[in-house]
Amino acid sequence: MTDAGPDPTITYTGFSLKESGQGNHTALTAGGVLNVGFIQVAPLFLYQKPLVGPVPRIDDYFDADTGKYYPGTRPRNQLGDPFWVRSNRETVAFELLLNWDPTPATWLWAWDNIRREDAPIAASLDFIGSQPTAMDAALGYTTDGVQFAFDGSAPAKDLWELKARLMINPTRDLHIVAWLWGGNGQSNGSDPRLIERFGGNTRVTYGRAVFEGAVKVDDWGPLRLSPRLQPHLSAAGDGGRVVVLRDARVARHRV
Amino acid sequence: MFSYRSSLLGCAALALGGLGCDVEAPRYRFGENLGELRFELYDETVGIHPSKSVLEDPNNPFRTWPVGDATKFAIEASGGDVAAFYAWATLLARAPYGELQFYAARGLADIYGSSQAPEEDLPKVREMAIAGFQSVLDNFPDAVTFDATGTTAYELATPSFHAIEDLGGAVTGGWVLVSNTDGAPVAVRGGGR
Repeated sequence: MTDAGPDPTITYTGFSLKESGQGNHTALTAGGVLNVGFIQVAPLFLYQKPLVGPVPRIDDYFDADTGKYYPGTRPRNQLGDPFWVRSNRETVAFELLLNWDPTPATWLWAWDNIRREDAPIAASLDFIGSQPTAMDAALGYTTDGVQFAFDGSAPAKDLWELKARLMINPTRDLHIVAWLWGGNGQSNGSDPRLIERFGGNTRVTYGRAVFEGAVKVDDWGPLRLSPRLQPHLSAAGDGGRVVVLRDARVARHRV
Repeated sequence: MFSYRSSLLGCAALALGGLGCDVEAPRYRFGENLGELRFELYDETVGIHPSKSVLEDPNNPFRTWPVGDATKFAIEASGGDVAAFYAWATLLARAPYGELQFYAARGLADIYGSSQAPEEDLPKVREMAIAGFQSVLDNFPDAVTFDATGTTAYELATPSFHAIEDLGGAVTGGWVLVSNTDGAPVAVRGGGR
């Protein structure tokens, strides 16, 4: 109740790149805003590094000839270690935000700007490039709703994202806002895939009526509870006992 | 009289002195011969979901180290019944699903069948195996496993039902055997419990 009402905070620019709110890290953020006429240029640089880095995955090994088992290691997770590394993984990132707002009296990044913006056309273009490194394991849920920790994490990959927001106000009552985005993305689990995704959504306001629509192409879908592993039965062996089993990972996080 | 500043300096000196203490170097861990592993009854719920006592069992060689997806099959094939049981039970405790429970219970059944536990513990191992298969029926009734192609699913309720009967136990939870269209028996859960 005490937080209800309008937000008086003046937001100068809409950076998307932010340091991790998770603990176990130090971070350096540096950026600026330069207004040149109706154009705003806002670069931002981020570097963060965990105090205690992630645990690398080393597979275990069993030598059937000698009967010796050599244990491996597995990444930490939120359930078992306070120094788990996820969003706070070592990262070098850069963001460049370009804005066009011919009517700066209506702040482009105010919390209610999509309703109050009075420029015939206002737009922003946001590019984010990052080089994150390795991290520990995340948590997931089995088809039975049991929480578990993945046995690994997505590998270090260079990531990028390009976002655009376009606002068109042809009349006083008609407001059109379109968000477009594209980039690559990694799984939250242990899948090493790097997907290329893009899409957009639109909000059209006419008077008191609001129409919204969205399109996502090759993007992550709704949460899909799927088996973490799908073991296979193959030929029976070992004195007539079933089984020699093999794994086949199913596609996760995709609809 | 002590000043606040000198107190802080004193505390800092003590802290730095503590940091200078010798730290014991970590020990190397070498391979362990799983063939020498013998089953020791630690807890009556070991290997039975939702118990996680296998992660505290000092006889479990996998309690602190992860068993890999490929390694568990190698252990199942060549590591012996006891090692296979502990591998499946450990994986079950960390991320439970039906197939892990089924094979953990089967590991117990194999240990009982081949008398790989102390003689005085064998009756208890048999009861644990029955409880493990019952756990498949109770907690993972729709559990399946797949053939090598990954396309044909085999449900685990019926094998669990048969396993309980083979061990001389009684299936609970309202499960009964019915004949499917091919005349083969299939375990289904009835209306009552």
